[in-house]
Amino acid sequence: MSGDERDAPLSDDLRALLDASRELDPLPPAASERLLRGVDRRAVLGGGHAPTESSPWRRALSHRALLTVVSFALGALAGTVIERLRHPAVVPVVAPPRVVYVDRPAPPVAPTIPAPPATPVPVVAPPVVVDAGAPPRERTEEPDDDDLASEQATLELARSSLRAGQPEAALEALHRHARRHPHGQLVPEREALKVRCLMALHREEEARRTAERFLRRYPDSSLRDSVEAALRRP
Amino acid sequence: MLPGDPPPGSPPPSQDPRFRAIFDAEARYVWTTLRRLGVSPADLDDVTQEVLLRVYRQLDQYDPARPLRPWLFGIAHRVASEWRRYRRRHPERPEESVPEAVDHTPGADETVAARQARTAVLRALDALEEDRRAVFILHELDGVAIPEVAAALGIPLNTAYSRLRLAREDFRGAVTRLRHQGVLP
Repeated sequence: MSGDERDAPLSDDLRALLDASRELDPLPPAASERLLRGVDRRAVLGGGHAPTESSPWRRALSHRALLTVVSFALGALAGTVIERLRHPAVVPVVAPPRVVYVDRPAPPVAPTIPAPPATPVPVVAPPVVVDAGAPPRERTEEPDDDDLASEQATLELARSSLRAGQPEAALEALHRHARRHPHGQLVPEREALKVRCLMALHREEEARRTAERFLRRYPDSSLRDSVEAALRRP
Repeated sequence: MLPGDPPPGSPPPSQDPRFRAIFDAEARYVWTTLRRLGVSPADLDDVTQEVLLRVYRQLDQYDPARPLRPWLFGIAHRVASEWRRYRRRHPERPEESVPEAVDHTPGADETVAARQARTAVLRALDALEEDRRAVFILHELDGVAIPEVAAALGIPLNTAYSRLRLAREDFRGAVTRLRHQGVLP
């Protein structure tokens, strides 16, 4: 179910109003050159962090950001000082992290505990969340945000693998997504990515079939251009 | 030097082919989007430059497999929010304001009705709360599907749907008020 169907859609007259104003504004005369020059200048000067005479709002934000950082640093420093004054004896002596006995295997018990308590202290195990014991969540019509986050994370892994020149790993992530989220919210994104992965692996025939299936299922998708472009890449 | 900044001595953004291609194709989109997000004509030039600079710095983060405009919109939305925070504390002085017509020279073929509609939509959008407004523009005016809207704005899918529903209600109310005021027939 799409979002458009979840509430009353806009009436025809409002749609017409939006349609009439959908066209992009023209840039004012000479704006194009001015914008490019401005971006070049800011890039050279350090951009948004180098205030210019024409941008008081960015200058103010930079000052505010600096003020925030300074305030935070002062607060943290003051907090540390106060804490040490209040608890002078509890200042822990932190063992250097790289104390490793290379000649012998490391002992199984962590050696960094400075001094064991004189009397035995009951050890309370932290609560353990066991997924298997939890009742399964019921599937509702509303998409689950956790599921979406999980989907996004898996697809992001596929994208980064593809960018890193590892299409096999990317394809594996996509297969994982397909297993976990066969009817997920981001199936179109997955299929579009799959076309790119297959092309990167020189599996052109599979890529073409996947692309055709994608275009049949999602003819109006905003990913259509990228799928078609992926097929054209050598 | 900031992340994404070119090393000293490298060519400026305008000579970077990737940035230049985006600029040539989408500068108008960025400009229009910022206007729709409520950036005033007096600051439009400056805020657009800031958005384009961030686009240039973040080019390596852009995934060409994804549509470009939602990505640009996400950046524009963040910069517009910063600008809005500043303007809340420092309202525009009268001498800073620029008449609408200066920044919106209509195209030769633009009809009076289209101009009227554009002005009315901008005024109605002004009635929308900031986050709802972003979802509404991206979905209703740019035609981006809601999952992609949620990804572009970094919000959960349900939140995007909820904001769209509320934004539609607000937009309806705003247009009704404009009709009562005689701004729209």
